[in-house]
Amino acid sequence: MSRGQGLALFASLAFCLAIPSAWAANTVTLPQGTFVLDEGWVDAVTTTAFDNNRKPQSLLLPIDRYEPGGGLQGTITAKPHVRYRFLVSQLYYGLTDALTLAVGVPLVTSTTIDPHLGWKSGDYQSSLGRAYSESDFWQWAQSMGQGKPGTFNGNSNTMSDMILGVRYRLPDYGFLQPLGLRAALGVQIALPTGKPQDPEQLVAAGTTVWDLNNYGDAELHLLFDRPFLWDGVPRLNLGLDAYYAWLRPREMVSPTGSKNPLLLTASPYIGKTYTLDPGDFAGGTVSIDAVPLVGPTWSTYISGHSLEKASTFPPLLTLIAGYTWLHVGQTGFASQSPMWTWDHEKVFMPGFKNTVRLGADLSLLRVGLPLQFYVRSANQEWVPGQNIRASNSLTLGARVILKFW
Amino acid sequence: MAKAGTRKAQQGWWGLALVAGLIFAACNTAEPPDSLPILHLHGTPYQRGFQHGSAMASEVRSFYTTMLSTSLLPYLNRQQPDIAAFLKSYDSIQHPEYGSGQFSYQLLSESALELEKSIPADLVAEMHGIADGASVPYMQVLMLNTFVDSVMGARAITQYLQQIQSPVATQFSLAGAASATASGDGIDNDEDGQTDELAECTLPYAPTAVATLRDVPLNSAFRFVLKDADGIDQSSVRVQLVVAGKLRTYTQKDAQLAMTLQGSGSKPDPTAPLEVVLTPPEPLPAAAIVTIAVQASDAKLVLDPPPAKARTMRIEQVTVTTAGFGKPLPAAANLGLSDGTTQPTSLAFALRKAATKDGGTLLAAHFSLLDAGTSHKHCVIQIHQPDSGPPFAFVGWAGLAYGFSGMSARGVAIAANHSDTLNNPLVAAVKKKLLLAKLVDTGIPVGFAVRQALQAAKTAKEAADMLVATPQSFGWNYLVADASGDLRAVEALGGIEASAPHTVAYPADARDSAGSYLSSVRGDDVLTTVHYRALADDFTGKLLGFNLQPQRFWDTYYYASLRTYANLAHEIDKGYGMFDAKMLQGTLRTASLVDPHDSMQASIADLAARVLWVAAGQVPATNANFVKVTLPAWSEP
Repeated sequence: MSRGQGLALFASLAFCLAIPSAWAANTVTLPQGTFVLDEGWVDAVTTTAFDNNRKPQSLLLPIDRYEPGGGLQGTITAKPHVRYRFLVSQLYYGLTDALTLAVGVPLVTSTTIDPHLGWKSGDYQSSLGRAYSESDFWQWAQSMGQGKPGTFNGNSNTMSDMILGVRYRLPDYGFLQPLGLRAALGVQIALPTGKPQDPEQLVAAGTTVWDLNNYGDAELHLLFDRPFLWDGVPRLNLGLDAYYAWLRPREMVSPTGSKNPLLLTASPYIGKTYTLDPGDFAGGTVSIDAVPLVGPTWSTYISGHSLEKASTFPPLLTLIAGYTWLHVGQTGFASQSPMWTWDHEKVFMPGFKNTVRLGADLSLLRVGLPLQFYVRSANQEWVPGQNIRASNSLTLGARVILKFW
Repeated sequence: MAKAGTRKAQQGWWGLALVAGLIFAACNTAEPPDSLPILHLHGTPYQRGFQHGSAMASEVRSFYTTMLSTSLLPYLNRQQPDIAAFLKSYDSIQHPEYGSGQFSYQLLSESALELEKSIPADLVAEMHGIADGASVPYMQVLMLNTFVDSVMGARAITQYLQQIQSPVATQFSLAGAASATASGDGIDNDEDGQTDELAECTLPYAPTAVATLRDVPLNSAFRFVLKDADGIDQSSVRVQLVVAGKLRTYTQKDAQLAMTLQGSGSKPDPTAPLEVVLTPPEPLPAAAIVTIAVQASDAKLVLDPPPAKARTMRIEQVTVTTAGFGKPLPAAANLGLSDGTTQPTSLAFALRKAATKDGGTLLAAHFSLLDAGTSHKHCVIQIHQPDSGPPFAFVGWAGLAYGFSGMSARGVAIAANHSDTLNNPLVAAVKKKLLLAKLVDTGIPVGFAVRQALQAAKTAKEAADMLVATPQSFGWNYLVADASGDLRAVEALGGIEASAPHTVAYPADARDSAGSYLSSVRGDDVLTTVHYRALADDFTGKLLGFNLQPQRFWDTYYYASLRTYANLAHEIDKGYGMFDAKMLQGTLRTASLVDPHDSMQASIADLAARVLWVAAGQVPATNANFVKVTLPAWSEP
């Protein structure tokens, strides 16, 4: 239906390694020996794509269907609604004060794709005495073994690609100090633990990096913070995260038509497998973190009953706003059919995403509880992108600090 | 120090190179493949086929998959119940080889093997070369090269069966006071040689290419009688009135349309013939051409194959002229106006001498039949340079050893259009074996007939003679032309029995019995679409209790073809004496001549220059740029 890929829909969610400090700055690392367990629940919805002219459109372009020798039967339209839900577990460990290790286990709890199929009638058909209605068309298709795609409900409690990451707080080089800048380097890799989409399904999605289209198989981040202090307390931080994400080429299984004989049969001419080389990401995020509420600050057992130490804990409430511009490279396909390859590549031309991020962190460390709660929202529709599918997500999470300082 | 500086500089360059590489990778943009490849093929037939197959391997496979496996084959499987109802050989219970979805594959493969027997050895060798070059089974290539012929024959039969089970128009007449007026107007309105005879304006309905009644009163009302064994669904009846280029449709809801079941009694028989009378809301204009068209569905739903539908007749139409027109019936063509349910058909035309700017010969064609969303992606221009004989070129498809139009370096060009007929080998097979017959096509596939003419004919006359002598697989309208200006039309039939009409050829200036040009505007041109002109009565006979009728009675392309022909003739007339290859590109792009969804290929041959212009690879084909191909000079050894 959509050029052999089925309704290849990609949910892009705001999931990435987030250092678990309520002071959500880019360069923060955990104190040595500290463990943090982070549990986040993510709800990501994708309904809109942006074309080459940054105009919003359906995730799936209209598909013309033809009666052999009878002209245009009609046009299948679709307004798919894609929803991914995740439970994301992240564990962080401060190997040294400057080096934090992380492991992220994203578990897709469910994926729902409602294709919202529609129909625009085409030419008059003499064999029918009318133009095909939607019902006519799908009855016609069914008589040849091709059923109407329904809603996809899948990926129940299915692993996505696991992430291993490290963040290294760079020394305060002399040239950074006058600017008040702090810098860090981040590296992460994804392990191929996700499940690819069933190639025979028209409406389906997998849980791999390619399916989620949000983080890379390997990423390199250069991070900066510029904190501003009032009365010795950091109440404002400007952050910059410049990064490159590489997505590895992967071999995909071609659809044979076993489930969709009319709409998804490419194996005979593209080969049993084809290679997909997702476009890499390059871009950056600028963020601003503001602290409207620092305390109260109490000396509790968490701070060893030291008020001074408690004063170094993250503030009670931090508000976060950010903007990410991300260039998405051309996704390449390699098959035995240049025509099929182009039909796919033209859908995944180079473009960019604009993501607006909002969030808030509530840290209870200052009042004696080793807990933090956070909320994050990411929106890719407010500022139109180009040649991408826009995803909006909401994340709710909690962190438990397992060793205290 | 210097060394360290050098190292640092090198690191810097490496860093820059890395960044540049990343940026390049990120900015790389995919490019589309060539939408109209040109193949230069040399050597023996097998070698040329192999080169073709090697170069287009993936396209050969994708064309087979997308045109046959996932389009035509499942589509034809749906026809099995209708066909098996008449031809017991296809009953899947008695003949399980036709069950389990194998009906269409078996049908086409049996036909392909039968057609192969008539294909010359060199072309069979070329097909083997294509199969080997593309690494696909030979049977797939054979089916690609024969499916058009097989499908057209089977389609003609199923379409005919569908039409005879649908409502039919049996009578047309003037109604009301106009009928009496016409019977006393002193004019032979129906040109039957009798003036003002009883029921002068009441005629058995018969589709014709020209007007049926002349000089009818301006207050005329029109009456059709429709018949169907299952009765007619009156809510489905639509009558169209075309006056002065404007079409208006009337249905049961309109007061101007009256319907009455024939027969008496208080409880009319719902299956009785239905009289449909249209009384135009205002008087007709004087000296005008008026077309009245009717369409209806029967009252029974056909459930298999889905979706459920009533059997619906083709739109039938009658043209009359109104009082004051004063010319004989052939002066008014029965064109009507498309209501959007039909599209322009395939067309071809050739021009010479007074018709062209420089007096040279041009042949143009636009073939429209079956794109199905895929054939345009598989178009290819093939330029053959055989070991012996002249080079030739044609526009075709991946895996096919032929095209529907082409040109040889000898300066002979040819174009072929389909033309539905029951005078075809499949009907012959049914006549021979009746209910036990199989729909197996015979004769030379149309494209190979084109190939033979391109390869061997030295003149248009030779090409026409070859086509007349060729056992035809179906009905086709060919045009041939040569650089000397000889233009000929060939109307081809299967010639299924000695007493039936056979293929005819005629020159551009051939005239009909009335003295008008048969298929020409002014004599230095010849044109054709998809209906017969010389063979208007292409076939009549009886088969399994059915009256087989000529093309014009049942072919769903018929009226669209009349309109396309008239529009093309108008364009030719308009540009007479000014045509060159560039102008013809514009003519082929004329909206009224372009099927927007099944247009497949357009070409222009400039014979003296040995140049072929081809537009293909898009739908409609004429949306693409015309690509120029020049054949090398050739002199006879």
